[in-house]
Parts: sequence; C-alpha cells; structure tokens
Amino acid sequence: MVSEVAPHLVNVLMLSSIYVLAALGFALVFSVMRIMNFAHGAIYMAGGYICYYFWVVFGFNPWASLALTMLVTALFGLFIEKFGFRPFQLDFEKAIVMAIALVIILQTAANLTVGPTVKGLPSLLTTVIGVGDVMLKADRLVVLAICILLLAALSIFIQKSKVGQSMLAIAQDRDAAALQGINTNRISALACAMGCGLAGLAGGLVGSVLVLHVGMSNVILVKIIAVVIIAGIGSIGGIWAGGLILGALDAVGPYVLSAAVSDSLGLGLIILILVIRPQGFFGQEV
Amino acid sequence: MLLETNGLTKYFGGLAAVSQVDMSVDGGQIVGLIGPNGAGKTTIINLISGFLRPSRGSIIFDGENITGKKSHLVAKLGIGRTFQIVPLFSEFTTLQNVVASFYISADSSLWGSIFRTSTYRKREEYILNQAEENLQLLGLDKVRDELAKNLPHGYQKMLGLARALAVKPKLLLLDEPIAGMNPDEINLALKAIEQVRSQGVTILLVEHNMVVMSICDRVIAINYGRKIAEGSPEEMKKNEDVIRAYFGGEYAT
Amino acid sequence: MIRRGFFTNKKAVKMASCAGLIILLCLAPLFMGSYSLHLAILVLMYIILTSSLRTIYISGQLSLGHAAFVGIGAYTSAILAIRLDWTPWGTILLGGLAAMVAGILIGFPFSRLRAIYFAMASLFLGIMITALIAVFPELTQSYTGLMNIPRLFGFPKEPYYYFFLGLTVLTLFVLYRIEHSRVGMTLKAVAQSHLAASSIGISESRARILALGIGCFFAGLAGAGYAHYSTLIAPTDFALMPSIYLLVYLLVGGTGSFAGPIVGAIVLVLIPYLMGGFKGFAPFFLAGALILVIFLIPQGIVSLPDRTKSWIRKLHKRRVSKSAS
Repeated sequence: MVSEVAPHLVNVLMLSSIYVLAALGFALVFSVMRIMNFAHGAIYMAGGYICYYFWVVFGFNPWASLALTMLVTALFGLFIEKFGFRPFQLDFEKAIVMAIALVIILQTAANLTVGPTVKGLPSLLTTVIGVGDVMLKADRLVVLAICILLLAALSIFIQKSKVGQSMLAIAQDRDAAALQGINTNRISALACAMGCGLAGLAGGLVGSVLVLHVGMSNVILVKIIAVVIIAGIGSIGGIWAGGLILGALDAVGPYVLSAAVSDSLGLGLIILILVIRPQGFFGQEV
Repeated sequence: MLLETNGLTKYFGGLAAVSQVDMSVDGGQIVGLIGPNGAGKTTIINLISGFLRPSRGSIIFDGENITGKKSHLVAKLGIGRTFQIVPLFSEFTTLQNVVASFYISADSSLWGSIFRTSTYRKREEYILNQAEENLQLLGLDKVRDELAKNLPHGYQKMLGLARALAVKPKLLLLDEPIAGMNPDEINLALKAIEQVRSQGVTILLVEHNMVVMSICDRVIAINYGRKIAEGSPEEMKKNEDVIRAYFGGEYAT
Repeated sequence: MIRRGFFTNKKAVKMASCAGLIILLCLAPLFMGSYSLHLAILVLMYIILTSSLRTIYISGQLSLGHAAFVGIGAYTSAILAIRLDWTPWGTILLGGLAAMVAGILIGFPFSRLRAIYFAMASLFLGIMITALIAVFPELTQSYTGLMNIPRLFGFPKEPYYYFFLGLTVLTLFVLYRIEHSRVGMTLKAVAQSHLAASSIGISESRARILALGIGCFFAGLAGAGYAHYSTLIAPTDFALMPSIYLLVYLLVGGTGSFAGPIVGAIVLVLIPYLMGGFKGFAPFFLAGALILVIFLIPQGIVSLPDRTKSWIRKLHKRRVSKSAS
C-alpha cells in the first residue's frame, strides 16, 4: 500500500513545490510592486527553454545551467521592472496591459524558435532510490529538495535580512517605507529580479522532471493565480497551503476523474473562492 | 410621521457605532442631526438610506418598513441623500451628472433606448428641462458643460445636492451639505434648501455649523451613537448634555 | 446622449455618410477575390466581437474571458444543427441566446465583484468554459474540433460576406443606440461610481448583468455565424489567448469611443495578413502597438485625429506668440 501511495505523494509534493516556487515569485512582485505580472508564466516558460539551451544545446553542467537560467531571468526581471513596470506603478490597468504585451512577445518568440515540438530536459539524476519496498525517483526528490531549500532561504532572507525587511515594509505601505529612507525603486527592482529568477528556475526544474512545451506559460499562469487566490492576495505564508491544495488536485485528480473534468472542477473551485471570499483564506483585501 | 426609527443599532465588530436610536421626522419639517465628530451621524444616514444594514432596530418610511432594504431601492422609494465626500460621475459633465440622476424618472427599457420610442423621448426631454432647472437653482448652469472632476470643491458639493434632488425625494438626507463651501455658496445652498422645503420635501440635515442649525424646526443631538437630547434649536444651544458633548472644541460657530 | 433640435444638420451628415459607406461595402465584393472576401469576413466578425467586449467594458468590467462566450454561441449552434438537424438560421440565433443566458447567469455572482477580482474571475471562467468543452467529447469532439458543421449558404463566399455585413451593421446600430441613450448612461454611471449610482436608484448588479447579457449575446451570435461559415471549430479558438487578443484590439483601438473597437479590429486583424510571409512575426507588431499605445497614446488609435489637431494648434500658438514677441 505504502509503495503505491509513496510515488504519488512525492508527485504531489513535487508539483506543489513547483507551483509554490512559481507562485512565490509572482506574489513577491505583487506584494512589493502591487503589479500583477501576467508575464510570469511566460518567464517561467522562457526559463525552461533557456535552461534547455544551456544544458542540452551548449552542454553545460546541469547545476550550472539552472543557476545561469536563474541569472538570465533575474536580469530580465530587472529590465522589465525598470522599463515596463516602474512607469506604471500607480496604474494597475496599464501594468497588466504591459505584462500582456510581454506575454505576446515571449510566447511568439518561443513559437518561432522552438515551435510546437515538445522538448524535455534530461533528468538531474537518473538513480532510483529504494526505501524499503518503495521505489522513488531521485530526480523528483531532488526537485522537491531544491524547492524546499529555496523556500526556506527565501523565508530567512525576508525575515532576517535588511533588504528582506525593506520589502516587507514596502509591501505594507510604499509611501511610509520611502519616508523611512528605503530606496523603493531599487528594492522593487530586486524583488522583480528575484521573482523572475524563481520563475526561470521553476521552469528549468519542470523541464527536467516533466516536459517543455509552448503552452506551459498559460497553464502555469493559471495555476499561479489560482494558488495566489486560494492563499489570498498579499499573503506569502498562505501560498504553501494554496500550492499544496492545487498540487494535490492536479496530481491526483486526473487519476480519479478524467483530465478535463478535473481541470474544470479545479477552475470552478477557484471561481467559487473568488465569488465567495475574494481575499482568499489568509490574505487581506487589495 | 414620514420617517421613524425604533431602536436603531449598528455594530462594527464589537463596537456600537449607533445604539438604540429612536427618532421621528414629520412631513414638511427640517430636522437637524448634530453631534461631535464620530458621534454616528453619518452612520445613521447610511442606515436610513440603505448603504448599511442595521444590526438591530427598524426604520419605517411613509408607512413602509424599509429596514435593511438596499440603497437603490430606498432611493426609488423617495429618499435622496448627499455624501460628505461627493462621489461624482467624474467623466460626465455637470449636466450629464444631473441628467443621469433622473434615472428613476426615465424610461430605462432596452426597447426604448434602441428604438427611441415616443415614451422614451418624451421622458428624456422632460428630464433635460428639469435638469437645467435644477442647475439654475443651484447656480451650476454656468459650468453645465464642465467635466465634473474639474469642478472646484464647492461646486462639487452643489452638484451632489442637485443629484439628490433629481431623485424627486419625499425625504432628503443631507450629510454636511455646506462643509467646504464659501459664504456665497452657503447662501445659495441654504436658499435652495428652503425652496426645496417649500415644495414639500422633508429634510434631515447633518451639520456641525450652529448657524445652519437655525433653519431647523427641530434638532436631535447624538453622541457616542446614542441620542442625548432633542428639541428646538434654541433649547439645544442651552442644553447641558449637548454643550458637554461638544466640549473640547469640536464645533465651529 | 440627448440631441437637441439644432444638431439635426450634423446628424443628417452622419447618417448620409453611414449610408454611403454601407453602399460602398455592399458593392465591394464585385472587386474582391475569394481571399479578400475571407479577410473581410474575419474583420467584420472581429468588429462585432471587439465592440461587444466594449459594451461590457463601459459598465466597469474588464472581461478576460470574452472569447469563451463566442465559443458558447459557436458550439451551441453547431451542435444543434448537427444533432437535431435544425436550420443554421435558427441555431445561430439560439447560439446568441445561449451565450446571452450564460453571460446573465455568470453576471449574478460576478456583478458583485470589484474590478480586479472580476478580471481574474472572468479569466478563470473563460478557461473553465474551454475545459468544459472537453468534458463532453460525444457532443463536442473535444480538442480535435467539431467538423462538418452545416453551411449557411453554398461554397462561394459572397453570401457569407453579406451575412456578416448585415450582422455587423445590425450589431453596431444596436450597440450605438444603447450606448448613446439612457441605458448607456446608466452603464457608464455604474462604472464611474457605484455609490453615486445607488443613491439615485440604479442597481449596480442589474446594470452590470445587463451589460454582460448584451455583450455576450452579440459575441455568441457572431461566433455561431462563424461556425456555419468555417464548418470547423475547436476549443483553442475560444481559449485564453483569443480573449486576450480581443482585449488588445479594444485597448489599441481605444476604449473611450464607439469607433475605438472598430478601428482596433480593422487595423490589428488586417496587418498580420498584409505581412504575407512574415505572418509569424505579426504578434510582435501587435505587442509593439500595445506598448506604443500605453506609453504614447493611452486613449488608443481612435484619439489620434484629435491629438494631432490639438498638437498642431499648440504649434501654431507657439509660432504666433514667437513672432509677436
């Protein structure tokens, strides 16, 4: 019994942690900059393909590829914060539209360069770990481990470091933070860079345990927003819960019901939450 | 009695913003509602006009129990109101703001709008004439084509009043209607309020300004959400509870 | 808005030019080949879709799932025609009505949501409706698409062109009348201040539901018409990106005026086809137009004539004051 459940459990945890990783980046940008970065999914997809180029096409070491991917997407995050989001800090409609433009650009670039073929990254580790009778794939455990480590590091960073505290301050009240002498532009840029870096990394990790395809940007965007809605806009802690719930639904659902029904139910649930309790379970009103 | 509240109570969390308020307003009167900042006067207005739901108590208007009815239904029943901070249709002109406010008098059917039936056209013409009259009454005709968001503060408050009148109210709830107006505007507003009263509209007026209180037939004093006194304006000026409530320099004479 | 007596002249000019334009459009097929006709049909359809999206927009609701309602219309009409053998002329109307009913039903819970939550909810709704199509594969053939939908006419494109032309004229007439009337004023009032609107007797949710019903009706109608023209529809035609594209057409054209969505649809639908071999790069152009608009011309393409006029006036003033000094 355990040997049957365990791989599913690992799948759930791994999927959840990827969702959480991606959603955290999104929530970070939203909390600090009050902007819904609709392009977050596209950056995740771009990260996956960039990783593919480093790892498979150029032949770099897998860990280096992942790190480089994070760096590239983080730099891209800096770029879009400065030119795309900073001009529209107070105008959420325009910022969303800017993000839509980004999505179109990135999506089209992907369509043109990679096309409709589905690509995959090699596994990080091909070993299979045996614990008693249970056979677990090591690469999924590694992804899970990386996610947990990163999330822990992020929590520590936000709670303990000066920069992290500044981000929290700006998230609560931007003007008050500015009056305290915090350089809101620089911290915002950093938050955006971190958020995009996380997205890129998540994309690379997904590429190695699942697949890369051009539709993944929209798919993950929907998941991310769903996680953030369950958690509550503005809540970072609730994202764990949101990620777990959604990860469980998505990993288990298609086995119990058909994929389409599982999808529809999941989406219906999100809509229900929006209608009944838009601020989510842990967050505050926007 | 046009308006009657019984035991009107509103809790926000554990705090009673309004507590056991019994009041009545007779048709044709101007009744004033006074009290220091935070006493609960605006909350009472919000409760009567349906923008807030009472926690307890009842509101009877013109013989009908309107407790808990939604704001747009209350407006349709004949209660108009102004707001302290005027919510405007900012992209509409002054004239359009008032024309829009004659919603209750208009033909809002899709059929009428698409095919411009004679009912629709007659009503719109009537509304346009009435709107122009209202603007003239309140001195807004010179800015009739100005975008509402560009109006200076005093004019915006006038516009709020013009909008409330468009509802053809039996009862008009005025929440600090002259706050922020200059003396000329105040005169104009007071004249308009008198004229409106002479046309048979009952008025419940929330104000700080004691001079304005003098136009009221009766005054009700509120403090900490409770009614503390009631009487004619002269009586209230001498009432000890009222003076104590205002102690601390809350009001301007 | 209410037009007074002395505007009659302007109105006559407007009506005359509209009539003239319609006559020209009726004669156009004489000069157009099959491919151009197809393009024209597409443009007409997108004019209807984008304009109907704007009707929802002016009530203060940003719908990110509009394409899904187009899909409801298309699938309803197609399935009824295939399964029950009803004539497309009837099923198209039913498709529009189905989309309208869906919009109204959605409106009940959604019309209480604030702007940003409504946007998100509509996003998820659009995706959910597309996913639901795959839940009933016996009816809809799921992701492979529904084929062999009965045609409205024969094979030549001319009748379809006239059909869509008529539909577009009808739609624009109704939407124009609605916007410039009491109903339109009520919708715009709700968008600007729901507090002020309720204080004058307007029910915010009723107005927003009305906007949704109207917008979704025409979207479904156009979608159904399209189904019986192309004979093939698939869920991806009505998914997230198509909804986003409709929004882009609206924003680039300009949300502030009735002509905005029309201009946006014409420009942004035609350009990719005019790019010939570079069609794949067309979305870059779209994104570029979008970025250009939000930075430089926030009110959209449709505001360009007015902006250039005031820019020229400013230049002229500066020149006059320079020469005077």
